[in-house]
Amino acid sequence: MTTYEQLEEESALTILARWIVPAVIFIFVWWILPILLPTQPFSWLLTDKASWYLNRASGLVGYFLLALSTIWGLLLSTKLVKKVVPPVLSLAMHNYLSWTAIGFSVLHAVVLLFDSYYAYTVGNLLIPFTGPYKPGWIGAGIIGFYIMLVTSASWYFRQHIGQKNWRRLHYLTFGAYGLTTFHGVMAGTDTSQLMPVYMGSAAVVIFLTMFRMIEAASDL
Amino acid sequence: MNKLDTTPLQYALILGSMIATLLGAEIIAQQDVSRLEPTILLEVEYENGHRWLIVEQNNALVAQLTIPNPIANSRSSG
Repeated sequence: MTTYEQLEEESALTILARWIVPAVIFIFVWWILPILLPTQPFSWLLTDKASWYLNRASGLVGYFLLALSTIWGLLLSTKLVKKVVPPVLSLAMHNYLSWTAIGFSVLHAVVLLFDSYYAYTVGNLLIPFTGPYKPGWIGAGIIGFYIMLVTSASWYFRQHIGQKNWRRLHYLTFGAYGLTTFHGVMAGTDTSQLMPVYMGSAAVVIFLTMFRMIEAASDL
Repeated sequence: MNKLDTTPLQYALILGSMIATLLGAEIIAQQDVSRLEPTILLEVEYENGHRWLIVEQNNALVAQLTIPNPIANSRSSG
């Protein structure tokens, strides 16, 4: 039987592992490593371009995570994954992927506040189509982010909104994925190098969507 | 009931993403240098804000004409 003290101890350990350990690692890499290695790798962290490099890298990582979450979500709805991966693990994976994608999207946006070239404000990051650089495509990314946030948060309210409505709402993730892909292709400065990534992920998403539709039709 | 603990998966995902971001930024920073080669017709990339612009630069020597000094060649000069 789990006692109150055990629960308290567990939550303290969870807080330590979830927040403090990553924070310590981040502080070490951000502040201590550049001091130890001023002209070595990561010395860019001390330059005025640090936010620009982090913006590009975190955007790419965020996109990878979103693409993986979308692909994993599609796989989850098919019979393929159900046979191989335990449901608890596969659902947790989908959930963690989407929330980590949200976290890195926030980082992708927030570092722009420290950019040495474009003067982004908090308002520009929150309100679509108001930024100084390609407002249309940046706005598409912001809307994609909001959809991602709503669909991920809706998991916790599915009992209130009903399973059917939650499922309908979840279809919006295709919109989030599409908007984010166009945001990356049209507003990204590394598009020429990353085009195979965008094309590859879009091909997998389209293939799995069609597979799912055929599978659903054959079940009827 | 033995419940499957998925927390390590979450930490691995966050940590892996953080490392990927830092290494990705390191690669971008390493690539972010101007590349100049000693050739006659050179494509020069330069950063204008966040955009890379490409111009063609001609490094060929400009032909120079030596004009005789009219004073030195004057009959009265020497």
